[in-house]
Amino acid sequence: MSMAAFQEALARLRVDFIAQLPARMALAQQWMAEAQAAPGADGPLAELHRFAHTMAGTAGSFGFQPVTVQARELEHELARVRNLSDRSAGDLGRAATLLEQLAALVAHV
Amino acid sequence: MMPTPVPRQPLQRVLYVEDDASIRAVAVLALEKVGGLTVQACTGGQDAIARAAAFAPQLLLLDVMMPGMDGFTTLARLRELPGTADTPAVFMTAKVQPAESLRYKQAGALGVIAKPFDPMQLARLLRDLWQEQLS
Repeated sequence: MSMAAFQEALARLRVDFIAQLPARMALAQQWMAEAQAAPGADGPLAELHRFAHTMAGTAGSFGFQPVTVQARELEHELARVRNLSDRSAGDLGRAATLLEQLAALVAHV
Repeated sequence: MMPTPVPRQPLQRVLYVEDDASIRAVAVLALEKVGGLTVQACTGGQDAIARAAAFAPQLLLLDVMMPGMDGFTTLARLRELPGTADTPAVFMTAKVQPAESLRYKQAGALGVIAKPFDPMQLARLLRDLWQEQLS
């Protein structure tokens, strides 16, 4: 495969990734809503944490470094929140803001 | 844990485990088309365990945070198979902190590749880790 063909294939994968972003963000927002409704449950937070981790690791490989930076910040915040022994919905405030900021960034990708 | 054995052949066959389809596709493209490697891509730990024996990898490349079976557990399970009991492993993760690097080493990994990665550099990074074991 020539370098041009490689870049073309990479560009196609990038287009596919961009096309999936709205669905990924919608799922993440759903998990956040579930976590806010039941802050003591770890399931939605664990899914959200894995989403942030994956987004942090993936977006930058497609050239979206600001998305990686924002997702990593969200990941760290979710790790902190998940370690709280007695969570309330208020503890999710910063994570919710970071997720909104991530959604805004992703919308402009 | 015992250190992984010294690799003696040029790196060619890589068993790659990653649950996210997007990053998996980029990595496979990069490893095969830029690096000239032969890659068996697996969607998770169970898939890797099912495919490992037939593929006979020289190197295991494992994502860490995966649903169901994480990278550490996948490596432990692959270590139970005769064909991959001693196969060198490299972790790939978005989370590379000093304390975590120690955990990767303790798991017997040659090293860790940070995500996100540059697709143009991925195969070189992997070969560098492979070569370090020769020197």
